[in-house]
Amino acid sequence: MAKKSTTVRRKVTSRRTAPKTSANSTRISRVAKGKRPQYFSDPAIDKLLWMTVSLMEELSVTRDRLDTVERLLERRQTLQRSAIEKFAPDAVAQSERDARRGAFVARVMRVVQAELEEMSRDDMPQTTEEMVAAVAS
Amino acid sequence: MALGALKRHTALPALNHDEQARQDFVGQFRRHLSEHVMPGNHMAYEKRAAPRFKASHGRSPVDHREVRGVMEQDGYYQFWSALQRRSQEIMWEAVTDPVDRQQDALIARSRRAGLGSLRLDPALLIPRYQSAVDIHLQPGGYHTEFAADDVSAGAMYDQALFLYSNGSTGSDNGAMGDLLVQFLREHHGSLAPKRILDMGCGIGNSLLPWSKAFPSSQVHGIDIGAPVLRYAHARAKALGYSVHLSQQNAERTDFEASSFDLIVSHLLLHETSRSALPRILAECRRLLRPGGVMLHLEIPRGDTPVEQFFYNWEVFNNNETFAQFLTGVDLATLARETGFAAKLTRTIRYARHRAAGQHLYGKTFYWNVLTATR
Repeated sequence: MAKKSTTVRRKVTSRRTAPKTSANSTRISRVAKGKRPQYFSDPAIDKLLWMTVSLMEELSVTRDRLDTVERLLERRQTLQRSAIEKFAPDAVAQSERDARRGAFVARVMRVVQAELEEMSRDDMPQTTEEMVAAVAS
Repeated sequence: MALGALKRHTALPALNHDEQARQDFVGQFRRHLSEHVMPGNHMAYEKRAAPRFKASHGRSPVDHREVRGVMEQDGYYQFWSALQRRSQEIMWEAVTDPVDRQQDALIARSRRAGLGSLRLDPALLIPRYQSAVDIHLQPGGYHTEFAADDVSAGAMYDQALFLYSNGSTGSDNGAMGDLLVQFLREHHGSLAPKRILDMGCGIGNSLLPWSKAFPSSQVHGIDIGAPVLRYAHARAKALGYSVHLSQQNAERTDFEASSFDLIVSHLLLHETSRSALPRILAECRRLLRPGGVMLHLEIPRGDTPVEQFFYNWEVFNNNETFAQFLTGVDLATLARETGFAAKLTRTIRYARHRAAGQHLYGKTFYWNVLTATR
């Protein structure tokens, strides 16, 4: 493929039509009027489930987008998708990938680690009162 | 079964890549819940909730309230219920984003004169049964305007109806109208309506099939919501139909007495109130000429306490608040009380068309059609 076809032409967006970014910049309400039921004994579980479904949605959107990118690259003969399946990282790539994956797992699992640390450290305050007392005088 | 796709027309907002992907997820997620998660509730009831109730009461639940009391303690039901609620919320989020992004353009496009007519009444009082909560969780309901001359509620609803019904409303969202047209031909085959009124027409998705079936008739649609009517007008134009839309409350319209041959509604009655429903039926009686027919398509409310409990999930979790009062109520009885002749007034179960999004609440899915001849 000729070199110029790989250059992405940027769409110029005016200020007026620029995408809205902040959570409060939408004009149409995203919340329905009415009392939202509580489904679980602890309302935090309701919130977590809310977030989980939204994350599922975003992951699904991302996979679809990745699929689009792969198909477009293949159509432009920049990539053959079978090459992705056959791809074998070299030693450097493999170790970078392992490190990134390890960090990812650790980040998600930190909630467990935090509890373990709380239990194991002798200098860890056990109550908020204790924490306040430590700086009160 | 493929979900299919909503036929794009110029009144609909365009979807960018991620907006389309988001809606695809919502459709798939809801279908998964409907096909693979919701049916387990019947088992949870049989194997866990019902025995638990029997152990403590020495008998089975006698009504849907007792079923609800014991089911709300069941973990499987709780989890499905929370997911089903969330699926309805993300459905509205996914259809609102593209409308929000293109709101100005959608409004501008709707301003171009269409066919037929559009008559709005800014002084119309939005009834409390529409404003108290947002029915089926649509933010702002049918009536809220988020900008001057807004069409957002309509543009949101058009997309959401297709997602909600899992595509069973058809690529033009017209399946409920088509079904009722079919019903009319089977039950009132000799009627050739010249003037037709659709009450609570919303975006006109069920109104246009009447125009299609009776092209020489004059077709009117009323609704309390200005944004849905503006959108309905633009949508009718986009699809090549000439209809007459006006912002009116079906409890009392400004049409002349005996001026319609046929009055229809599609899922209107369960979104009204105890006092409004008889008034709407009485208004139908006033507007129909002698020999004229009314047809109201409604969702059933269940035959057993368990089915009634499942149908009423929508009441407590989807802001279909009034629907609970229709449990066990025969609409034909209400119509007779407003003066329709007993012999000519019936509620008929009709099942030519299955609503995939809803059929799992009962053993089989059917629609209720309230039919009466003036």
